[in-house]
Amino acid sequence: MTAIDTTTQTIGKPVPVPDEMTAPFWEAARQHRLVIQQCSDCETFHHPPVGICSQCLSIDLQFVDVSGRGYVYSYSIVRDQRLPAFDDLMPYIVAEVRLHDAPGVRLLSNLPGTAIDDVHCGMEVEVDFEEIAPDVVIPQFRKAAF
Amino acid sequence: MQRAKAAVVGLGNSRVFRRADVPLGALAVEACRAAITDAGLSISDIDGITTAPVQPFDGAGDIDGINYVTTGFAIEALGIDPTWSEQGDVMVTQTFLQAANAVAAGACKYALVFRALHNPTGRYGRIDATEAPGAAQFTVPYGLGAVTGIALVEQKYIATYGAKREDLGKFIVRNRQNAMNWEYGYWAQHRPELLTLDDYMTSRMISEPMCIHDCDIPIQGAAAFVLTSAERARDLPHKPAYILGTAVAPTFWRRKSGGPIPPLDQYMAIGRDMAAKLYANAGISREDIDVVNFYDGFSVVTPFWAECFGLCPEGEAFAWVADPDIPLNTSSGNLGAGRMHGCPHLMDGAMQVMGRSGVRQVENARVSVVAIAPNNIGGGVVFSSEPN
Repeated sequence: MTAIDTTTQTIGKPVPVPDEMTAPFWEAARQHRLVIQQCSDCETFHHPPVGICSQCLSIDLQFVDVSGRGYVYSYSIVRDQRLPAFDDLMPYIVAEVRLHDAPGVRLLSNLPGTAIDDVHCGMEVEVDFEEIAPDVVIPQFRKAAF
Repeated sequence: MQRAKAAVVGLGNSRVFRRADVPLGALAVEACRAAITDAGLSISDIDGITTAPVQPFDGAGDIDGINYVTTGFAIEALGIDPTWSEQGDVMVTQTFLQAANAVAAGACKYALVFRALHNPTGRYGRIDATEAPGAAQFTVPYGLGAVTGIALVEQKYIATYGAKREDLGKFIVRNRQNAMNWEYGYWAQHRPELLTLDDYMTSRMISEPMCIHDCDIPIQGAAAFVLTSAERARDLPHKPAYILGTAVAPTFWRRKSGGPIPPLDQYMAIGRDMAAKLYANAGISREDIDVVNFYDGFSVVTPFWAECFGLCPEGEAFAWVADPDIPLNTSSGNLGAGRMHGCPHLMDGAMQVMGRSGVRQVENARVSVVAIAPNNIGGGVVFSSEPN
């Protein structure tokens, strides 16, 4: 996996503000690793991260590395929106990705490298990473190579 | 046994404007006074009040009476002295249910529910933030806004079932005609313009597959309802709209969705669950329904409710709203009234069984079903012309 060169495209995107529950997710992303929170007792995945497992009430929750492989569940082509940082990027894709090895988890992605005419439901994708500000990295997905 | 414990007995609307020409607090008071007068009551009779002050977009501002209206502001401005007062989440339905429960339980005699919607000058909901805290951490860095959230659900529905945008367009074209009969609405009052299917199909895309006509227009206005117990309702001027049953989607979906709107499979499961609970709570079935008003802040929410209520087979919701076999959205909804956030649906839903809908009136309307909001924050009410 290689970092995407988006230096001309990402200026001013709002940066995620990690909190007590989400900090490990963003720290892993900074290291170009995709981790998802999982309950150590009942193995339920939680995203966004939680403070207590709603399935078994355990507070033994840890962030586990996942393969980063998944598929496009749905998508939209954005042609008008309210964030100035995205004005020059339109039209752009927002895809809802489901991970193969973390049931129930969905993540968003702009599918960098995929043309707006090429995206479709069911498209296989794998994780990649985008540095949207110095030392601020968000997971993205690109069309799977396999 | 009499099933209905509460009823709607008064309705009121403020003037509506595209922008904040008149302060929101003044419009809220206008709507509340109209509803109280309509119920044949006076200010001193009102001993319960609730509202949902939250505005459905970022950057609304934070001045009470200008950018939103709280229960507290209304108590002072109207000069009422309540024994019961409350304040709810973003949708009017939940506060409406609070009020129904309050009058049924005897927490107050006459409850006022109002909703005031703000549209400031400048571009609606422009987000200039450079940081994305809280739930926005996982959405805003990807450029996800409210329209895209529901567009993801619609796209999946189209991809799964081959649903046609043309069918949704037919519903929207007819709905604009209905809007001309909703005298309280923005389009009837300010822009009496009809649409053609070609207008719809060639209009500007916002977030594919959603175009500009799939989105309600933001306005400044307020609406209000007076509720009382089924027993007291009989002594007031209008034939009451009895509340036969209610249901809401469990609030945990809001926490679970991981974004503004859950994915299609969860979205529809939530809606089917709520519809089943509403049918059961009201003691009615599909065959009993005379008229439906389903939320349409985004157009696609309407066909999704229709499918969840079992009015059409799975996957055929767009075709159903194109040619419905039950009178649909007689209020013209948000798409026809402007962004009044479900108030038109509740209002004409009640007026139909009160026999007060005028040119919109469905003949012999006895049972009227209303469902408000996208499914994950949904709420529903069954109104009846009879308490049983």
